[in-house]
Formats: sequence, C-alpha cells, structure tokens
Amino acid sequence: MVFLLEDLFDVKDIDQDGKKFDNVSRIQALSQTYGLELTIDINTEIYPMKIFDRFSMALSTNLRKDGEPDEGVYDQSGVETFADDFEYVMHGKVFKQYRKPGETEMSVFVSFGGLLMHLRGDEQQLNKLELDTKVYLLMRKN
Amino acid sequence: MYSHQPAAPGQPATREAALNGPLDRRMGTTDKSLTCTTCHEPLQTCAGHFGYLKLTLPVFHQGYFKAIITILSCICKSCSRVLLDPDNYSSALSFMRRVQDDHLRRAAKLRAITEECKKISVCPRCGACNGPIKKIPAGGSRYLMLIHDKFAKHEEQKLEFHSMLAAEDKSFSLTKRSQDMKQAIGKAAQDLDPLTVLDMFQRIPDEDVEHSRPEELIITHLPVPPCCIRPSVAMGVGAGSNEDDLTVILSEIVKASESIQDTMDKGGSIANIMDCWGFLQLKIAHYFNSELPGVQQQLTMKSSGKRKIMRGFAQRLKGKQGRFRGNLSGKRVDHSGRTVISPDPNLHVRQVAVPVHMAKILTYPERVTSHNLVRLKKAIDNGPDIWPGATHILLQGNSNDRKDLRYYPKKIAKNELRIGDIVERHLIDDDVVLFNRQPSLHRISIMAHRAKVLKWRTLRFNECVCNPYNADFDGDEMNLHVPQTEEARAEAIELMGVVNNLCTPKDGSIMIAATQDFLTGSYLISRKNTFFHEAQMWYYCSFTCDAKEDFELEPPAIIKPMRLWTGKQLLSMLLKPRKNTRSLETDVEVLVNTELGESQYEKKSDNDIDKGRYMCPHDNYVCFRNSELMCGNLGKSTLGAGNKNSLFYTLLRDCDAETAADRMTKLAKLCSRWMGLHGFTFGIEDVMPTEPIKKAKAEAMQKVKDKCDKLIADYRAGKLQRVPGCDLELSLEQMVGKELDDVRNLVASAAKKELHYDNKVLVMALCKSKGSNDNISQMIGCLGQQKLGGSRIPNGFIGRTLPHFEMYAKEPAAKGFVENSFFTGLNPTEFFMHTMTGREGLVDTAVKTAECGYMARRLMKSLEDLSIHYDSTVRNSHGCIVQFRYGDDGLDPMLMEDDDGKPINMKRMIQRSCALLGCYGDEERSPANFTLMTEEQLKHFLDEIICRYRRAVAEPGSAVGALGAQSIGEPGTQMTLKTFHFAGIASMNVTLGVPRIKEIINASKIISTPVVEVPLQLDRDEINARIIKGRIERTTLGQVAKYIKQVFAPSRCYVVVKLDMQCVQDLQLNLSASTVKKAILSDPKLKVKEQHISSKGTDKLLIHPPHDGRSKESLHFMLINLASQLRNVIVCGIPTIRRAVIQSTEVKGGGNSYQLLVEGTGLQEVMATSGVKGASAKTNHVMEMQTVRERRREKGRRERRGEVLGITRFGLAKMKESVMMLASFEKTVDHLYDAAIHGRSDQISGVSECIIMGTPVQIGTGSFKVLHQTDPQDAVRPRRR
Repeated sequence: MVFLLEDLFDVKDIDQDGKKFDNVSRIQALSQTYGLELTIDINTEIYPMKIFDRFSMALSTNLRKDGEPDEGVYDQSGVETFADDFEYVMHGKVFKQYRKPGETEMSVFVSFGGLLMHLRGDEQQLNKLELDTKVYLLMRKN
Repeated sequence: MYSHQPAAPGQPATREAALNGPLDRRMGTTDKSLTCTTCHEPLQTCAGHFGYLKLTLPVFHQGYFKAIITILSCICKSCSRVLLDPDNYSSALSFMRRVQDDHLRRAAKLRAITEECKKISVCPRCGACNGPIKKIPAGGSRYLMLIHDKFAKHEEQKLEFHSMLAAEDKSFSLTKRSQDMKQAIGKAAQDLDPLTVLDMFQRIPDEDVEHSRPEELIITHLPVPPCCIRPSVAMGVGAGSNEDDLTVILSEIVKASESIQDTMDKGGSIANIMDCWGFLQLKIAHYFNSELPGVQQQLTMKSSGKRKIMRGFAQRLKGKQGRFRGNLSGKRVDHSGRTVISPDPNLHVRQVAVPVHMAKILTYPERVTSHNLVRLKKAIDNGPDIWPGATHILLQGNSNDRKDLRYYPKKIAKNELRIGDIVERHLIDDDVVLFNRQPSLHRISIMAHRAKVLKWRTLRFNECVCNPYNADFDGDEMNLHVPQTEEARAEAIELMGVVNNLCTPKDGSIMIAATQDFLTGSYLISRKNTFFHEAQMWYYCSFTCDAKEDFELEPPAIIKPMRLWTGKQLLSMLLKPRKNTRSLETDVEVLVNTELGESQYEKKSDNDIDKGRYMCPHDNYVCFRNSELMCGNLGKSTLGAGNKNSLFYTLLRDCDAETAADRMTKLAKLCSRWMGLHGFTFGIEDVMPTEPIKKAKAEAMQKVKDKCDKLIADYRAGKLQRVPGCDLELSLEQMVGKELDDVRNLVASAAKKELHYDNKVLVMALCKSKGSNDNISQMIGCLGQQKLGGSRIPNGFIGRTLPHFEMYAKEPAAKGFVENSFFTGLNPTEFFMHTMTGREGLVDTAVKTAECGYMARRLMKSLEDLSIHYDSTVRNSHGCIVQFRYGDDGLDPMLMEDDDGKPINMKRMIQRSCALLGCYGDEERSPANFTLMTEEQLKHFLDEIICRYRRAVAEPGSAVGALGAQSIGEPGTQMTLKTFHFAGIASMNVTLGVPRIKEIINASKIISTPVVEVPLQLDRDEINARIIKGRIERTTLGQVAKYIKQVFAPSRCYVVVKLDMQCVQDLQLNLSASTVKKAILSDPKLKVKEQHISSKGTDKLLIHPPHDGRSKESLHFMLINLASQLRNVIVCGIPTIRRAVIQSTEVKGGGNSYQLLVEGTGLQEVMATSGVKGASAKTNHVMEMQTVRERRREKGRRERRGEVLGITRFGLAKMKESVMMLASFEKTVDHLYDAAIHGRSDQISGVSECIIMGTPVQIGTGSFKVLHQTDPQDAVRPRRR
C-alpha cells in the first residue's frame, strides 16, 4: 500500500487562537521531511495531544489491506485494515485546493466531518490529494 | 317601480301599518307573518317596492346644492339662458358634445365656463342684471338658502330700483323707515328659494341642456325605499315596534310637509310658512346625510336634549363598516373557521393541523366517482357526527335536492348513492385549505396548506411558516377557508401553496425557513465538539424522517480509537441520505454547493485563505460541497430567512421547492427531537456574570465615567470643543452620548468572550435564533443609556430629570444611564427612566401601525389594477400603459437570485458548475475569468444561466401593482421607533423610513429635509467648491459685518455698517459696499431708498432711516428697527438655502472629488449658479423636481398626465376613472353625487369595481379568455351553476 502522503510531524502549538471546546483542539504541526505545515482539529478527549509531541501521519484513499475498492459507505464487515497499525484514524474529504498563481507552494483543505485539516507545502507532495477524494488520515505517536 | 303616496301615520288601534304611511304594506313588509299587498308574496320572496312622497313645497337636495349654485351662476336669473355670449356658447356646447369620455377635461371646461359666466353681469340675451349667488349661513330654521345679489355690479340700477320702490310706495317711503331698515335696503337681494330656482330651471330651454334636466336636482317628490331596507323590530306582542332611523325621519318629513300645507291652508304668515319650509329642508337633508355641518346641531337645538345620532343614507354607505367597504368590497363567508394557533414541528411545512371539531363542520362537496365511491359511502355511514363523515348529499348534483344526513336515513342515502352525486363530506387529510392571519399585509399572509385532521382544539403548523404570517403563539388566532370546487383547489395549491411560496415576492429572499429552536439545534449539532457513536447516529438519522427512509451511512469521521460521527455528518445525511438521492420534483441529484460567512464571520479574514475562511477559528465560514457540510457552524445566515446564499435557497433554486420544503421539515423534526434529548434550559445561571465579566464591566464603567466627568467639567468651564453646527449644550450631549452608547457594546463583547461555550444566552445570540448583543449585555452587563426621542432623558422637573439628583446635573446617571443589569436589578431612578423609554416604544408602535395601515391602503388603491400584459407592458385596467417593460427589464423580483437584485449569482453558478462536473483545480474564479474551467463546465454554466434568466422573466397577468404596494406597505409596518427614521450624510440629516415614504407618496409640497446634490464643473478643486458654496449659501449682512452701529450725531442719526473684509475673503464671497447696498435696496421688508444710503470706501455704508415728518414712528425706534433688520438682509446666496456642505469623496486615482450638499429648496437657482454642473444637479424634493421640469420616475407614483400626483384622495380622484373604486376609497357620498350629476358610467374593469360587482378580476388567471367558439349543440353542459 502506497500512502498519498506520509511523514513525521512535530506539534508546535495547540489552540493558537484560544481553547474553544473541552474535547476538540486545533493542532499546529510541522513535518520533518517535507516541511509541510499542518493544522488539524483533533478530538483530544479520546486522543490527547501535547505540545512537542511527535507523531507520524499518513493519508490514504483506501484502508483495506486486501486491496478491494472502498465504497465510501460505512463498512461493518470488520475486515483487516491499515487502521489496525495506527492509533488515531479519521475519514474525510478533500474539499479545497488553493495555489497562488506562479507559486510552487499549495494549500489543501480536508474536512473530516467538520474537523478540518489544512496542509501547506510543496506542490510535489500535495498534488496527489485530488479535489473531492475521500481520504483516510492515519496517526500514530512515536 | 310602483308608486304610492304615504301620508302622516296615525295611530291605528290594530297596530297595523297605516295605509299611505311610511310602512305601507304596499311597499313590502318586514313581518314574517304578513305578505306584501302589491305582489302578495311573503317576506322571503318580495324584494319590496318603492313608494314616493309628494312634498308640499320643493326643497334643495343637499348633495346637489353645489351643482345648483353652479348652474345658477351660469344662467341668467331673468331669462334662464346660459350667460355666455353666442360665440362662446356654441364653442362650449360643441366641446361638451365632442369630449364625452374624459371627465377630467369636462370638469375643467365646466369650471372655466362657470368662471367665465360669473364675470358676465349683463345677460347677453335679455340684458337683465346678474350678480353673484351667495349662500346664507345656516342658523335658526335657515338651512340651504341662497340669495342672488342682482345689483352687485350695477349701482345705478340699484338706485333706480330703489327709486322705483319709493315711487310705488309713496306714503310709506323707504327713507322714512327705521335706521335698520335703511341698511337692510342697501343689501336687498333676490331670494332664491327652491320654488324660484325650480321655476328658473324649468324655463331653461332644452337646447341649453345636455343629458338631463337641471330641475331634477330639486326635490319635489321624495322616493320612499321599500320597508325591507329599513326593517321595524317588533317589541313583543302588542307592544309596538322599534323603527329604523330612516322610517323615523321619513315620518318626520311627512309631518313637516303636512304642517306646511296646514299653515298655508289656514293662511299663516309668510314667516311662519318659511319656518316650516326650512324645517322640511333640514329634515330632508338629515334623511340623506345626518353628519352635515349644521344638521346635527340644529336638530339637537330643536329637540333640546340628548338625542341619539340618526343614520342617514350617507352614513349607511360610508366608512369602514359602511356598505362599500363593509359589505361590498369585503364580505363574510361560509366554509371558514378561526381558532388559536400553536406550533407543531412534526408537521410538514405545507400541512396545517385542523381540529376534528372543525373538520366536522367544514365540508367539501365531492362528486362521486368510481374511485371514491367506497370512501364516500363510508363517510355517509359515519354521518355528520363521526369524523370522517358527511353532512349532506346532493343527488346528481342538484342543489335543490339537498339531503341533510342528520335527518335523512343513512341506509337509503348509502344505497341511493350513484356516480355523479355530490357528497358534502367532512374535511379530511390532504384537503386544500387556505390559511390566513390578519393583518394581511402581503400576499403570503394567506397561503394554501394541506389539512391534517388531528385531535385537540388548536390549528397547528410548522414554525418555519411563522415568518410570512408574522405569527407567534402567544394567543394569536388564525383563519381557515375551504375552497369548494376542484378548480379553486387546483388554483389555490398551485399559486398559493406554501411550498410554491417559500420566497417573498418583495425581493425573492427565502421567507419560510428554520427559526428559533431549529437554528439553536442546528447550531449545537453542527458544532465541532458534537460527536455521536454508532447507535446515536442511526437514531438521529431516523429522527429526520420518522424512520421511513433508507440511509447509506458514510464512514465515521473518527474511526480509531473509537468510531465517532460528527454532527456535521448528521446534517449531511439529512441533506442527502443516499449516494444518489434525487430531488422530489425535478429528479436531479441533490447536490448543494454554497459558501457563506455566518453572522459572526469577519469579512476581513476573507482574503487570507490559509488562516481565515475555512480555517476560521470560530468555525464561522460555512461550506457545502456537493451536499456535504465541510465546515462551518450553522446559524441563521445558512438556515434562516433572508439570505440568498442560504442552504434552503440553494436547494430551492438548484433542486426544487419540494425538496427544500422536505429538508426544512426534516431539519425541524431532527432539531426539535434532538433538542428534546439534549436539553436546552435557560436559567438564572446563564445570566450570572462571571468574575472576568464583572471586572470588564467595572473597567468600562470607570473609563466612561471619567471621560464623561471630564467632558462635563469642560462644558461647565466653557472649554468644550464644539461639534460643527451645534451649540455648547448640544455638543456635550453628542459627545457624552457617543461615550455612553459604547458601554453596552463593550460589556457585550467582554461577556461574549468570557462566557462558557455552552451558555444558553451565548448560544442563542451566536446562532441568531433569539437575542442580540444588546440583550446579552442588558441581562448580564448593564442596561445602558435610556433614550427618549433619540436623546438622553429630558428634564421633567426644573433643571433635573428626577428630584433625586442635583439641579443641572449632567452626569450619566442623572440623564438616564442605567448601570445595572436585569440580573443585578435596577434602582428606583433607573427603573423610572427605563419605564419612560418603554412607554415611548409602546406609544410609537401604536401610532405607527395606524399610520402605516392607512398608507398601505392608499398605495393599494392606487396601484391595485396594474398588471403585466401579454405584450410585456404594464397597464392599468383601462389599458393605459404605465411602463413599457416591467421594471425596465421585465424580470420578476421574486426570482432574482443575487443579493443586489440581479437575476443570477454568477459566482455561485460557476462554483456549482465546477463542483458538479469534475474537479479541475478549483481556483478563485470570477465571471471575468473562465480560463480555469473545462469546456464541459463552461457549457454547463452557460446553459444554466440562460435557462435561469428565462425563468426569471415576470409572467403576463402578474398583479405587479398590488405586489409593489405590498412590498412597500409591509416593510413599513416593521419600521417602528422614530429614531430609525433619520440618518446623516456628511453632517446633514435626511428623513428616512416611514415619514419619508409618506412624503413621497403624498407628493408633499413641503418636505422636512430637502437636500440638493450639486455636482461641480471643477470637482477636484476644493477652493472652487468653497467659492460656489459661498455663492449658493444664504449669507446675511449680520454674518459678514464687523459691526452694525447706530450713530447719533448732532445733525443726524444713521446706522453704520462695516463689512468684515477678512471674513468675506475667507468665505470666498464676492462682496463689497456697493453689492451690499444693492442687496439692501432690493430687500422687500426695508423701506430704504437710494438716497438714504451712502457708501464710504469699499467696506462701509451709512444708512439713514427713512424718516420724515409724516412718520408715526419715532426716529429712535426706527433706527433700532433698522439696525436689527439690516442684520437679516441677505447679501448673497439663494434665500431659500439655509446651509451648504462640501462633501469630499476619495477618487481611485488619488486626490479627492468634491460636490456640494445643499440644505433647502431652490433647485432652479442652484442649477443656474455658475460653476455648477446644472444638468446633473439632483434634489430629493419631488415636487420641486417637477417644477424644474426634470421628469423622474419614482417608485409607486405615476405621471400619466404629465403631472405628479400624490397618492391621496385628491390625487387618486385624478388618476382613476371608476366612480365605484373612488367611492370605495374615501369621500364615498361625494363621488356618488358627482357621478350622478355628470352622468358618469363605469366600465367595471378595475379590481375594486369587480369585487364590488362580484365579477372575476381581469388580472392573473382572469387576464385571458378562450376565444374559441363552440357550436351551442356541442357545448358540454356546465357541471355547476
């Protein structure tokens, strides 16, 4: 399985604009290899995060290990998935790409049912995240 | 018409109506047991017969009195010929014969002829003297009396007449009479009693008369109406009866007429007869109109005591309860019901819950077919008392054979029932009913719903529909009507159906949308911290559809460590439950694409895409992408009424109304049920200020207090910097006011920041479901400044507001600043101030509603008959073109999709096309940049916008006039509180809101704030602007004079005026002693002549008072007067202009452009001022604009005859031809008399006339007819009468 994106991130800041809710926090992180800037909303009640935490994150369009296509509908079969290898998994949709004309950096916006992820970085790394694709986000602390 | 001659009623022992009395049975009867003796029919079938009353002496008809005077003025009082000389006579006659239709021109000509005749004092035919006709003021028994002052212009003839009298009367010469008599002789005039006038009118030759004889204006025989229109009420057996007012007056008239006959027969004195005649005149006037000036007071005088006011004919017709407005234009109806309303979120928006009790009374006549036979048989079986039953059956639809199922055996009825019969069955589910709430200010105040028969006693509907009815559930009642034919039902549900009227016709924004709890619920559900586990998710999904729908649940947003769905996913499921969900009517895939900022969204972060917009820290930017809610906390902007980017609006436009209504219903169900589980209780702890809020409040309070103290100290010391155009006191008020107004906002923002995210007040304020910033701070923080009439509380005591304060106190608390909140409680003085503002609000609403209602009525009357015709012109009912294309673009405002009244929202359409078709890089696109779209997308986009443009064209038949009137009238009622009605532009106040609309509609000659906008030729030059300002603005001598002194020298006294040349220079005026001298000389009030003024140098003038020996006034006073008058002499500028302000606007290329705003009238003079771009000067004064011959079309007014008419009773009379319409508006009786005199006819084409006559209106579905003619033999017999 090839992930759309995989990298190690360092948490730089939590709730930059003030804490809004008890159980959801906005995390700012920076990737080690590609220098991607990541902003992501995480349910910290079930997956606590601290500043300076280091985690690896991957994005994929399909979780199934058997390579069967994903139908985008809630799967209750319980087959083996990549999720088993990670601690925190979300499902969402790429809904916006933005690139200023003439720049190589681009921004990608993904919504996991309203929990937003914003990735900013080099075009080369991010253009695999096509608009309107359903993606799985996989996270694991190192 | 049968004619009988009733005589004075006696007192017959049998209590039978006297023969020849006012209740003569030959005129019909009002007693059920009697029959009419003319037609021998009983009360039910005899419509009554007219009688007449022959008067002993003729009397004037008070309604035609003016016309009688006009005719008398036009004819020679000796030979009864028209006074015009033969040339004028023939031209006038031919004009009147030629111009038959245009009553306005006829009236104008008549007026001109009358004026002409009044000037002629010698009859060109017989040479007799003629003078003016004069009315004698009413008094005593005199009423409606005329004299002819024959010798008014012929003094010598009068003397001749006198000498003639003297010659005749030698023994008792006039000169020997008493002094009083002598004076009276000087005033001698011809008495024009009705008999004389009748004789004169009868002598008018037929050639002078056009359509009817003038003697008909004088009453010789009085028609007596049939008894049935003036019923007598029996007081019990043998106790006599109470008679109608008309009968009473009639019998009085008979008596009065008889008494004249008596007096004459007995040889009574002339004075006596005249007295009786006067009384008859008065009674007859009373019979027609009891409210005439004079009639009332004279009658009370006569009877000397309290007397109930009798109702004459005029009173029966006029007013809101009168025949025209009360019975002809609006009627009471069958098949309707009314009761209290209550909410029910479980109903579909199109439904209304009807109580079973009501459903059993309201029926629908359903024709029996093979399809409904079984059901209707069942209904008959149930009978009238068990729902769903039936009340009547009409065999074969024959209305004469109506069987009442209360008495008719059900078994027979059931067995008899054949196809083609009609069963009047109870109201059942899904019947079409009309639902209405008063006041019906716009067309969506009455809509067609589908009935849902339920138990309990109230009418219930989904709260989403509260908006158009403006209903709440604090005890409101609403009306229900049941259309009685299939045609009516079809028309009602198509045109008035709730689902087809989600938008307001005013501007097309959505009006039926989520409210209150639904907004709160959606807000809470869509919040980021809302997560559901699997069972919850399924449960909530089934809430939306009563578990009647299938769902394809998308994977949970969080899969690990536990499966959690978010609230946003739930809302996405509501919108699109399955992958390929189709819309209900148009069957397209439900794909909603819209983006908008919620109410708290900061516009300035719009450009920063990385941090702002989608990533808004408060989640205030909402984005729906292909029916999935991507981000944003939903609130009123997304789900509520009034926004054209909102979710439901997008659904409505991109899918269909049915789908939008369905999703709305689902949201209502979900939110109310979810809220029921989640709980949302508002308690005292929600308004308890936390420590940080208390601190913030104290800080803000201290800061403001310090500032105010300083300002007041400055004011007391006289050091306060003045605000332009204000005196010291006003400046203080303005500055202090500004400081105090801010406090509430400061506290509110502090509270918003510090309150917990689950605080109920905060939640409701943030999603705008209920309560605003002000409400938050009033409950938690402080109540803030109480204002009365836009300023701080005025002093009710001497020098202070309340005796609790020191004299002349100006500090915040003493002038109505309330530091406490509703939570902390108000102290007595604060409470008092608070009640003051509270009362102002109440009074204002009461006054404004009456005012607005009347305005709306006038607007409606003037515009009701305008509609779009098939040639796309807007015409009135007479076919006159008012506009060549509706609104100049022919588009229906209801179908405009963009916020600023454009038909298509291009940005959203591009977004939509891109989202629907593929996903090529979704850059920021504007309508000018299509380069980043694929060919497919572009094609889709173009097809879509062309299709939508075509759809937005207004349909022929639309009652656009009524629509316009409602669109102005309805918002008017929402605008209360005077303070909203003023707004400043460049320190100039302009009237706005209701008062302004009133000014425009009335076409007022004087408006409260006239402002002329003056563009300049050199608009980049400030100095130039100043020069022109100086030329325009009124400048008095006092303003530019250094001094105006009185000089008392030994030889002479005079006034010295010295000009302040520095000031003149600064103001850029072109002034010198000589120009000032000219100005003084041309001032109309000053009687100073050339020789009185001498100039000394260029800046000094000596003015001597115009005193000579003859003057009564002393020289000293004259000097003082002169000095003070000189101060007000206008030395330059336009006298009508009080003030001019330079308005500078920044221009894109850098620098400023200047124009003048001029307060006052005088557009013509302003335009003529050099340096002004005259052709583009504008004023907000309509009537002035008209006089300057600049025609401009204002909404809601028409200039059909090249004249701006106000929408008042005067203007309306000029723009409408229909008498009936005018009579149903105002001055009912006057219009009817006028129509009778001029023999006017009515086409019955307008809306009011058609309603009065009960014919279909030629608007909307009535605007076309089938022209195809069928052979009578082929014609199908109509189903119903």
